[in-house]
Amino acid sequence: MNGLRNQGVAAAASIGDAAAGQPLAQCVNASFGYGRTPVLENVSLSVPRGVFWPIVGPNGAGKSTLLKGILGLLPPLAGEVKLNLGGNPPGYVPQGWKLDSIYPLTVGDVVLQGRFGHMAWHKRPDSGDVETARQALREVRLDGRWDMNYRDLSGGMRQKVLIARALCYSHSLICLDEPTSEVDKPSELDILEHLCRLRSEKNMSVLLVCHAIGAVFKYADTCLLVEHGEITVARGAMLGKIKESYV
Amino acid sequence: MSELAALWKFFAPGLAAGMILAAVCGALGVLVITKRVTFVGMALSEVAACGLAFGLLLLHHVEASMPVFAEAWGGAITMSAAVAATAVAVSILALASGARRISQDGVMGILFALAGAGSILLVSYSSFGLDEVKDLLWGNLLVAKPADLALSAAVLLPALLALIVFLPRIVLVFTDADLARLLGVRTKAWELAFFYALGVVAAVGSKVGGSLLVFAYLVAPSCAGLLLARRMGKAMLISSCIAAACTAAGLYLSVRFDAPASQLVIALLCLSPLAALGISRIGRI
Repeated sequence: MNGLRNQGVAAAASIGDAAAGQPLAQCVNASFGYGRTPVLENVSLSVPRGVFWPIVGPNGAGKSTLLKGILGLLPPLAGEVKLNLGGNPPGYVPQGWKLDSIYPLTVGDVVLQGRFGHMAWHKRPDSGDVETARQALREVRLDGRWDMNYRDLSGGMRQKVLIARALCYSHSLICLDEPTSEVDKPSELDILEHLCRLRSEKNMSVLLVCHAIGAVFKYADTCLLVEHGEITVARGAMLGKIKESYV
Repeated sequence: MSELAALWKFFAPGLAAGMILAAVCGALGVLVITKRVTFVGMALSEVAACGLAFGLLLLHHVEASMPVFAEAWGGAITMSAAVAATAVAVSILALASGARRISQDGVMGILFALAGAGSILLVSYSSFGLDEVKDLLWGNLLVAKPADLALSAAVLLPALLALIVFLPRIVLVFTDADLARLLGVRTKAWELAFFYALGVVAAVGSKVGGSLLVFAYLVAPSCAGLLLARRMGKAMLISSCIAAACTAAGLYLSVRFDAPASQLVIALLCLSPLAALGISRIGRI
């Protein structure tokens, strides 16, 4: 099976489901868009546990729309999105620059933001939250940077801090929006290796929107191609073709 | 000595009210600057002044028919008008945030111009004395009354407390609204609450010290605090301290040289970012 389009997407994912049990996220005939205008229609997609799926496609195809739809940030215009994450939200990692560097925040402040879902609205992080945040920072190998200012970090480090923030509240699915778009080559490889380690060591699923997709194919044996309003799970020869046409 | 004591008794409410206003606006202003909504602070201060002008006009009409009621509730009437005006302005801005064809900045500009013109128009139709008009439009911290001090303490100190308690959550909403929504935080509600609180602070501040002073308190010491500090809390603390120090120095210089108090405080506040820039070059705190 090299590639499956539209309704076949769910079937493709079901291969993974059999091995990994219930899918972590499931779009059932879902349409996503802005206002009343759909960008993606009739999306049926299951995300099983332990996958590393880059989401690729041309500009404006709807890659980020799909990601936001799965995250629940964009309510479906039709159909539904089911999450099976044990009550936790999916991990979300925006691009590093989206966190405005005018805010004087330390790395610790930023990572601790991932704990707010576990706190009452008037509470502040306690020692348990701090320990969880420090552990998450250790997982991305930035444990010595707790007191550093976020804005003083390189693009790659910022991205890893945001990954650590997502690890504070999500333990099964992490979604990243162009995590390597503003980093140099060594940092890109470092980030991708960290994400692969999350899959191999913690059996987490990783979905990442990629604009430039050169290095990501070293780590992925499957990708989601978003093109002309359709989503294709691409593997094998089709993956090779995509690599040729997009790299 | 007795002259000095009399002077102190006269100026103490203004000094204390100014200190409270400085501390609260200094801290709140750091969020205004970091959220990049400086113009909101300016527009809300002007709208509050317009609301005060409307309240005073209303009060003069009430005084004619119900002098006892006006005497007892005059302060509440003017304050309510200012708070209501800022609440309406914040609601309009919230509605405008979803507009695609005009920017929120444009709406703020319209509100600012309307409020500025409205204040002048309202006072031109009133029978206010020149001093009353000057105090309304430009403020005078020096002649703040004990009632102004009580109002500042009653409204501004709880606002400061709320800011301290909710700061991490407000920062989350302002820095990453998507994540906040994922974590179940009602981002729109928090943003609205922040701006309504800012409106109330602007209304009280405009009554006590004038709209320009409120705007200067929100902007200038906050820039200095952000230049000097590497943490949000520290930036707010430094900003509040700078604002309070400028207030004390400005009031002293005002008495010493018989100059307008609020304007002297504003001048000192605006010099503080320059001083902070110099200090930050030497070494950050």
